[in-house]
Amino acid sequence: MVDAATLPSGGSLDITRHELHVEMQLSSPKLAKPRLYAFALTDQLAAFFSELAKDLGDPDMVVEMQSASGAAVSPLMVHSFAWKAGRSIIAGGSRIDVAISSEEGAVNAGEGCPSPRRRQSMRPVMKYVIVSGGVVSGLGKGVTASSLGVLLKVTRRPHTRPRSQPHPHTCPDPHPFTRTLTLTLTCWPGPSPDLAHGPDPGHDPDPCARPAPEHSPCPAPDAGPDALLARPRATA
Amino acid sequence: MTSIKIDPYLNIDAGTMSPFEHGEVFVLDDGGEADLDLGNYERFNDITLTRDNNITTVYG
Repeated sequence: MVDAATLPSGGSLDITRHELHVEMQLSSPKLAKPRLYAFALTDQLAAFFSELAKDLGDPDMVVEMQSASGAAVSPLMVHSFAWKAGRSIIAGGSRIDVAISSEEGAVNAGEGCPSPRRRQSMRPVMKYVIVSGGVVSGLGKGVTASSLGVLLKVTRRPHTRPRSQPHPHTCPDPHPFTRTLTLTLTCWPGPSPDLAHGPDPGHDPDPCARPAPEHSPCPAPDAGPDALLARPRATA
Repeated sequence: MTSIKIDPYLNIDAGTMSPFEHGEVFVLDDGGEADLDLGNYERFNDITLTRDNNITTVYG
């Protein structure tokens, strides 16, 4: 077993994980300037390794990924699973230092999970709520589970992200369900920018044509309940 | 988000029981026959369930 740490450094590789692909930038003394690669998360390492060997000037060079424990990572492994902390690349007897980062917004569903295997996995973490009542009927197991489901669905709806900066110059969201949720969850109990258009904006022939009404902006999402309650109530 | 109903019957589910034993049957979109409760879950949560959302105990 070759200890990667004892090998001479032959360059560095910066890995950036994106939602559907992984981007790697290789810097090496053998290259005039850094070279950028990109592979789908479902691609196998092998193609990258052969490119790497070619670009470093020797197509027959042995390129291998080594895990922190010293095990060789199979070149058939896909990029999604392969790039983890502690992995290094050994190319032709020299070590290529690997740095891994995630692009903001990339899927990192396991973040915050206590299990390291889950944290590094790209699969969404499934969570279960189990409602049990043995064989007794009519306790409300179904109603409890369904109601929890409704609450989870509503709170995780991306449309309900607090709109801290209302957009006075854009068209109000035409989707009635989105609007209802936005009004309820982000602007309650103060006046809403959308409500100021009139009691029934649905019948407005062209809501974008009119200038945006004067209104106080919604409080910042993290302002807390006091800031919400301190805002003036809507007047008829 | 989805719902799974776990019924404590052995090797049988509400869909395969006789009407005298269980009563009515709810047919899911994929043809699975299940307890009426699954219909309520579909309606309440605005989801579509399949036969996989209905599990019973298997013995032996």
